[in-house]
Amino acid sequence: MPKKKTNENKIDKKTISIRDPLYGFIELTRKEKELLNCRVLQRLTRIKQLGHTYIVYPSAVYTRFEHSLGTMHVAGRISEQLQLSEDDTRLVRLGGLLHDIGHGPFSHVFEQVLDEITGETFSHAKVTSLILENNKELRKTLKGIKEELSEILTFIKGDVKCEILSGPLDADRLDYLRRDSYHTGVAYGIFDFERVARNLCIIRDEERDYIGIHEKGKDAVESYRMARYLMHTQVYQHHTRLIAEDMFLRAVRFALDENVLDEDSLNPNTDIDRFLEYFLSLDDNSIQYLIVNKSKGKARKIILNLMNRKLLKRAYIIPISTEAIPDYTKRMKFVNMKHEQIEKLENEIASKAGLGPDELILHMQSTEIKLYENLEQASNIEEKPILIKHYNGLIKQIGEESPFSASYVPKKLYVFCVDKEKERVGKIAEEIIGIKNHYSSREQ
Amino acid sequence: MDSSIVMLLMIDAAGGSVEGRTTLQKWFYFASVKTKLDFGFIPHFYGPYSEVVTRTLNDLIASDFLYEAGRVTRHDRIIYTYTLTEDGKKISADLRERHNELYQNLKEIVDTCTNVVGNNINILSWAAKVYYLLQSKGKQITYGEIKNIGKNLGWKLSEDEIDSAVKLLSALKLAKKED
Repeated sequence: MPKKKTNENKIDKKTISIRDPLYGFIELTRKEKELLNCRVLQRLTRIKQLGHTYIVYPSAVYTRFEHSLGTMHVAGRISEQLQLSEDDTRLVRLGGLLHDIGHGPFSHVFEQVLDEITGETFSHAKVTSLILENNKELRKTLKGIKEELSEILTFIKGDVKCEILSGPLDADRLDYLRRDSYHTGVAYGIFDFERVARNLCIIRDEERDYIGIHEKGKDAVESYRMARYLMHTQVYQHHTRLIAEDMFLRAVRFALDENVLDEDSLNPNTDIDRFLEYFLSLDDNSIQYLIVNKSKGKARKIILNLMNRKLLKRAYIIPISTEAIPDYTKRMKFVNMKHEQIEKLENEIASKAGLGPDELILHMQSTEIKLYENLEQASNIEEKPILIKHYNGLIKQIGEESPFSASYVPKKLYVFCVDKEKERVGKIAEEIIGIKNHYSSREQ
Repeated sequence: MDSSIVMLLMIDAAGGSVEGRTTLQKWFYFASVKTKLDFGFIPHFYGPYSEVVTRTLNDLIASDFLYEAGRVTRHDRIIYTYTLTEDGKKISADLRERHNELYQNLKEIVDTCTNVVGNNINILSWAAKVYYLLQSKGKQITYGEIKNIGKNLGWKLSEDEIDSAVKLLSALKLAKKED
């Protein structure tokens, strides 16, 4: 058996190098190179990593493809640090390369479309799993390792290999934070990657193994957490990006109503083959041109507005805080506000303003990234606390000893509308909601 | 049931203030077991962990219903305390009237945890973890099984502390003596 592995390794030695702005060169094995040329991987060259962020940060146009290569590289780096076997390292690197193949147009925003169509949480990870299972080209290329790869990409085992791809200190985040920072020009995402990588360790437990970090790397991890928090407040949660994504989502809903997009073909629970063929034909470019060329209604109008940066503007904002909403019963209602209630409120304001659903959108923003345990990211993978291994062997959760307290950014309710109506809509929203417009008061 | 309601009632039941994020997590876990409310607990090194609980805590602090204060212990650890603000007290009083049965259940859990293990988060976490493990493996939750599985966890707990954890699960009526 070991002899066979050695032969395989010889065949699979790194064969090509690709230049990368973060790591200099990324080396690929023959198998990895073969995968790069698969249709599902090449499609990622047409899906922007940061969705509509380019509307705020024009250079944020890099794609899921570069990030996948970076994740593969970092996954390999972590595997070496944790002294995983060659087979496991190879597997984890392939996982890193393929972990995002299930993304739809404009990345995470498309997950909401699938959620609405299926009536369940349908994350890109689920689509990735379906692609791995059913795509002929991939199945052929991954012969013999598909099952194991599928297990680590769907986090079934929850072991160290899974944690390298999805955990509080995973290859995905360690790559995209710095890459997002590099491409947006926002310096907040920079942290000491080498220090983090060199201090990762395995924390053994009866139930399973975890990835933690040695005490020596604690400050580097604090810097990483701070970077994540700041990138969220400055980039991922920027109000212009939020409205651009909401507009795109609305355009897709109209396109489904107008039968410009085929809802049945976008439902993975009906016919998998039809779903995958249709889903994989959609990327950032194709969906926009499909809507613009086929729609004769609101879907087309919204996409053209997005393409020409004619965005809806802020008309009304309230932070869910004591200063903005002194009445505690009213404030509590906003803390617990559900999607249906937001929709109802939007309809009420739009109806009174005489505006259509393409002209007014309500958005409840919650900065979900906090400085301690809760490092929820855009994907729907559940977050866990970072574990610190002390010199004396004691294991602690970072939240229990970090000097950074949580960051309590209040939720905000936004009403966006067409530019020319924003003053009038602001007043209508103020009247219906019964709370002073924070936006206008800030402007004065 | 909304997690923010449970959290406010729980902190109210604890006298208006709770020390430690882990304590809240574990109280919530036992509340979810006893009341069958689902807060999405997942396994973790320090026992079951819920993102919903963390997010609810943040939301309630950001919206001024809870106040967080941190203090540094002599071992350089930071302990956070969560206290109901004036608005938090008012809304909790309203909620107590509207959800009295839930409040009584939560109070029983909080009182039991406090009486048996006090502020010792290690015992609390250990008990929650062992219960979670045994339950997910479909095993009988008896004193013997708890001690057996507990020994393999590798946590540095004394025999007395392990006994306290067994006592806690027993007091919460989540474990029984061998048949």
